[in-house]
Amino acid sequence: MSFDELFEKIRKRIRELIDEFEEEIRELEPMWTADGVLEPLVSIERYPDKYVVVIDLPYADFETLTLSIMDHLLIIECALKKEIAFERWGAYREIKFKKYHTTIKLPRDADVENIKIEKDDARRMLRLIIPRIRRM
Amino acid sequence: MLKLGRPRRTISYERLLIHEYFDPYEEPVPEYIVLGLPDAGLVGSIASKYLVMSKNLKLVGEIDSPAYFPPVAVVHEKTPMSPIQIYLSNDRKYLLILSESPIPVQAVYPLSYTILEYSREIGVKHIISLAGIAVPNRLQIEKPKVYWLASTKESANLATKLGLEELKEGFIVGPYGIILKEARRRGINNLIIFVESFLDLPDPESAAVALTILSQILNIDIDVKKLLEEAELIKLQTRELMKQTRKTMAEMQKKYEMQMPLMYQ
Repeated sequence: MSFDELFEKIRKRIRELIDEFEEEIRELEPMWTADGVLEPLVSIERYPDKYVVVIDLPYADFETLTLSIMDHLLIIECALKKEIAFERWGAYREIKFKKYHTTIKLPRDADVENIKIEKDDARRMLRLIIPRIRRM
Repeated sequence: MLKLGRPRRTISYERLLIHEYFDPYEEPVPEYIVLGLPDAGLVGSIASKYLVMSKNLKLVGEIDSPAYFPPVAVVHEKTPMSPIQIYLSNDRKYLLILSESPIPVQAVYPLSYTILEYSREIGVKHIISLAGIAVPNRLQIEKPKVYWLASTKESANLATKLGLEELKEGFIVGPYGIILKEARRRGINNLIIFVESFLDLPDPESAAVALTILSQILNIDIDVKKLLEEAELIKLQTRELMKQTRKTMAEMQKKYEMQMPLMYQ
């Protein structure tokens, strides 16, 4: 194995470990903040030619949906149709949830220039189809 | 006033404790145990919680374990209790076991054996498991398909009468799979109803389908209209459970279910 190959292998492993660590941290974080922001559930399916990202946004007002991309980070924001409070959060004072916000780290081979967005209004779900860039 | 006081009886199996607040031997003895455990799409969890609320089922027991479960108490109407609860229908036709937290991997076998032992102890005729079966294109599916698997001929008869499709090959990961294979070995009647669902997003629509099938099996009315109307709210309220269940499913290698077994025909 050449030095370059060994270096690339180590670099890849370090990136995987950082990703795993970040994932662990995310698992521990609650899915809401005290200032009324909810984090939606996201499901990612990997296919040979694309990624399919499904985002569950119950009570979302799709008119206010914004998607932006910054260096392979997909940022999604959307207001709720109305403010929602749950009794369960009563212990943390009266929190009214107003919007969704999440940041999804896209894989390196995701073609962020050609994302196709499908909205399922009835189910309040988003489906993003992201082509994968073929590497030689 | 607290919902529960001291248990009438506590039974111990496999280092798990069943606390009873009712007499399970009183006539009529429940014929069925319905299982709603966190799994793909939270189909069983959503369906069972809806059944508890809509039928006003009575809380009659808890399953707990200092050996296998995290140190958690869930509080309902000021009463602290285990996240795994047992409910009884008003006509004593069926018991329902639901869990409000994912089943830890190390608890899957002992909990499965405990449920089987308990069903035999009190003389239940059938265990009916409500499950989701993940399909990758769920968002494109208008009407989820239903499949079944049974441990005995008697349980199979419950499903064949309804004209449902039997699963023939595949993997089942988690407590439902363990209960089914062990039920077959012990000659206990267990039927799993699988409804196509999301893997890691809550799926109230599939839960409604599962309840419609259950209503036919138990021959009871279950109106799922409210469940469908409140689907958005249910999805919002079950996000945290889905997130925790996703982690447990990953630990159990849940994605095996999407693979074909080695010896398929």
